[in-house]
Amino acid sequence: MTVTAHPRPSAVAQAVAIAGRSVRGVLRQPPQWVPSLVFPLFFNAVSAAAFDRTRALPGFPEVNSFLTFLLPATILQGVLLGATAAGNDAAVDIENGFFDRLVLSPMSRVSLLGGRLVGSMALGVVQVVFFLSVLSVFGARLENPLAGVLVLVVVGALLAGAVGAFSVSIALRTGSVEAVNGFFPIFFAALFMSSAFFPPSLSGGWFETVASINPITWIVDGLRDVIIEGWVPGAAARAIAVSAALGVLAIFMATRSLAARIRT
Amino acid sequence: MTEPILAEGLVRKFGDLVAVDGIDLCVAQGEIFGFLGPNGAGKSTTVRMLTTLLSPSAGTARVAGFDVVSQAAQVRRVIGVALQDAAIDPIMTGRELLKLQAVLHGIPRRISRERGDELLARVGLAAAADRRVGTYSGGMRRRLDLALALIHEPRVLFLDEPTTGLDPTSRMALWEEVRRLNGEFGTTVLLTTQYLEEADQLAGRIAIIDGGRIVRKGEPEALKDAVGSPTLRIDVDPEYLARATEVLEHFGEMRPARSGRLAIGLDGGASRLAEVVRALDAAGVVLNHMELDAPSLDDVFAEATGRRLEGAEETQAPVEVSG
Amino acid sequence: MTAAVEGLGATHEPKVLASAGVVAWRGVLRTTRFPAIIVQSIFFPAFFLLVYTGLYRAVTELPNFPTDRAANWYLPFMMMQGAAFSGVGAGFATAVDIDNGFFDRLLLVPGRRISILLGTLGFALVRAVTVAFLVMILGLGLGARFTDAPLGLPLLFLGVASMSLIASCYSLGLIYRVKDQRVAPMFQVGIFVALFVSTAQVPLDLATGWLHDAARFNPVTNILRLGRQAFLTGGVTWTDTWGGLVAVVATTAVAGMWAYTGLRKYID
Repeated sequence: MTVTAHPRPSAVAQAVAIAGRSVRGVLRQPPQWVPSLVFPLFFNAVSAAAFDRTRALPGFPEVNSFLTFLLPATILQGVLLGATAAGNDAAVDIENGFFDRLVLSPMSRVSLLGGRLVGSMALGVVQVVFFLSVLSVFGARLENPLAGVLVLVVVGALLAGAVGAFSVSIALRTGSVEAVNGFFPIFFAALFMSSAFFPPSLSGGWFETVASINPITWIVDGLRDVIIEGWVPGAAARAIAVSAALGVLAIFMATRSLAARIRT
Repeated sequence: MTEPILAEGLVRKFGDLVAVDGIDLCVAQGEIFGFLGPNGAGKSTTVRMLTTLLSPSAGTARVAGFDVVSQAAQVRRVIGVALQDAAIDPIMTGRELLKLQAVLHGIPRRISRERGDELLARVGLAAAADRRVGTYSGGMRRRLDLALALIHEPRVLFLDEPTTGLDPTSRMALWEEVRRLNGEFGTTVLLTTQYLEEADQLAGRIAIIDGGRIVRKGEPEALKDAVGSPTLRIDVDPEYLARATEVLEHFGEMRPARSGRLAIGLDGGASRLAEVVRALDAAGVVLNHMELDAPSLDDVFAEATGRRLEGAEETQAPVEVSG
Repeated sequence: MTAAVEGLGATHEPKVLASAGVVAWRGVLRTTRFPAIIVQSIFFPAFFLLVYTGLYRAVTELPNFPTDRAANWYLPFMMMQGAAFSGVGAGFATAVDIDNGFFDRLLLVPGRRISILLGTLGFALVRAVTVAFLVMILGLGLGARFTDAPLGLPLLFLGVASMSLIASCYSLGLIYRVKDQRVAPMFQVGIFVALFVSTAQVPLDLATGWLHDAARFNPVTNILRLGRQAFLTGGVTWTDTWGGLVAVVATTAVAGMWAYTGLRKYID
């Protein structure tokens, strides 16, 4: 009897398989992705209608509508809500034993992690396109649509990957869905303590200080400059660089967490 | 005195599904009545209607003389219920749950404390009483559930599959307790189960339920006697099945059997066993196993429904042999 | 022990209040054993109060804003938000009870089943008022100042209590009807929409477009108006009070009926 050894699949193919599973898994569970699309739109529709008159305050950026001002916040909220699903899925896989099966397979560690992150990033891109489409109907405007869309999509994807990697690292460390969900308020808090929802220069005091050292402020400000003024290379670079840096940090954490879990 | 449990034409529908399809029931004072049937037969649904947890779609029922619909609150004062899933809160202790139950029944504290301690001792949970129920084993939870059902000295006790999932020792202990309640206090018990032995051991009378209807009712011994002949079961390899069936058909009626087995009601009983063996041998059938059993409640169920109750998933209908 | 001919259950009549009380006691027990629940109930309104008073400080500079302190404006809303989400907690706890079968034990209460509802609401109310009180202390620390405490404070806590009852009844009515934990996210969604499509963030005359129109008809707007009087210029007036009282009574009554009829239909 002869034994046929199948050729080991490439890391890319493995990653694509995992990414596909991630995306399919999320799509099959509307409660996972519907809130990440609906909630940011609702919350920002209410905020825009409530705070529109504050555009008249001295020092408020020149925007045609508060929705335009909130565009970065909308995207970040959506990415935050959607990308934690990667961590949730990883925790569920660990809890029900499927993760062990993946580890025992010939799958490379890079593909194992990379696939999930690619899945998150793909969903992040979909979210950005969705939000831009809907909000532009209601008056949000990009000064340079091409540049604006490009930068928003790139940053959205990078942040989705970063948040996804971070939530996966929590899942790998704790193996618990509850622990992953427990971190969500922290992300949310970080988003609020930034320039996402209102100009910190108008808030003043301790808030302005905290917001100024929050990396999310640097990302939001970079995005907003591109949205309002058009192609501003420095602003775009800042937003992309900070998002990428957060992504690198999160991937590093996730890799360490994966190694720790496989060892134990 | 009115019967403790009286139901006429009880029906329950869930949309198009008829879970209970016209049940008539009369349980006498001090009786242990068994409700035997497979999963999904309608046992729990019937119990839920009798205990006012579900309203009937049609029909009437009276428990301890009170109508389950119009006098539901009075019914609940005199019944004790231990449901299929032990309905307990894992973060409370056993003693706290008893206190909750006692207050819900309006029992004054001085009486309820003493009664609670007595019940905990009786069901063997005195040592664990102040531990959270989440730390209890399955058997301990069931015993606590029983204690909770008894705190107010009910006249009628409903036990819905009380020993499902318990180990044999815990099961026996629970049976003992049920017999004691019935013997010492005269408590009327309606017990649902899918275990033949449980119905056989505990119940004075049983009703066999299938597809929402009662298919047989009476004392276990009488029901078994009505089946008549003992069941002869043989195991043979597949190549002998047809030949063996042809032979056996001359000795009695085919009965439902597990996959790979044949069963007949052996006319004439054990005295014809030698004849059967000679006939099978003459036909060239190689026997792997043979057993002869007195009629069981499983046979009663099989005769009524054409299926076996135990190992139901392996049941096959008697093999049809043409020719 | 000799058996009573009638049995303890037959000879003792349960009282609605006593039964409700022990159901509420169970809620207290669960909270003390899971302190994370209460910590979370306090954390969110406290955090958002902190954020809103810092983030939207400049909003008070808009013309005709009824106070010059952001804390004065947002504190009553955060207290009511905390109360509302504590109320939703009652729905979550009941959903768990239904899922694990414990709710059947409560349904077997020999007395009137309304005691289950009253006990659940009672505990939710106690929790809500406690959370609101703690958030109020934080708010005072962040710079909120009373303009009319003697009259305003009772009205504020009336608003807090009604938000708790409304949110509890809404959630309970839903879970009694659906009987499935998966409906639980709808509790939060419904309450969130009701809270924010109002004068939560800015006064009515500063809200624009659809928000202005919708907030006018939202009873939460009137309940907020009732409760905010303790902190706004001009203090308590009959104009701002009567609408709030009507909203409190009417909305609580409607929500209460929603929950009660849901409970009655539970066994159908």
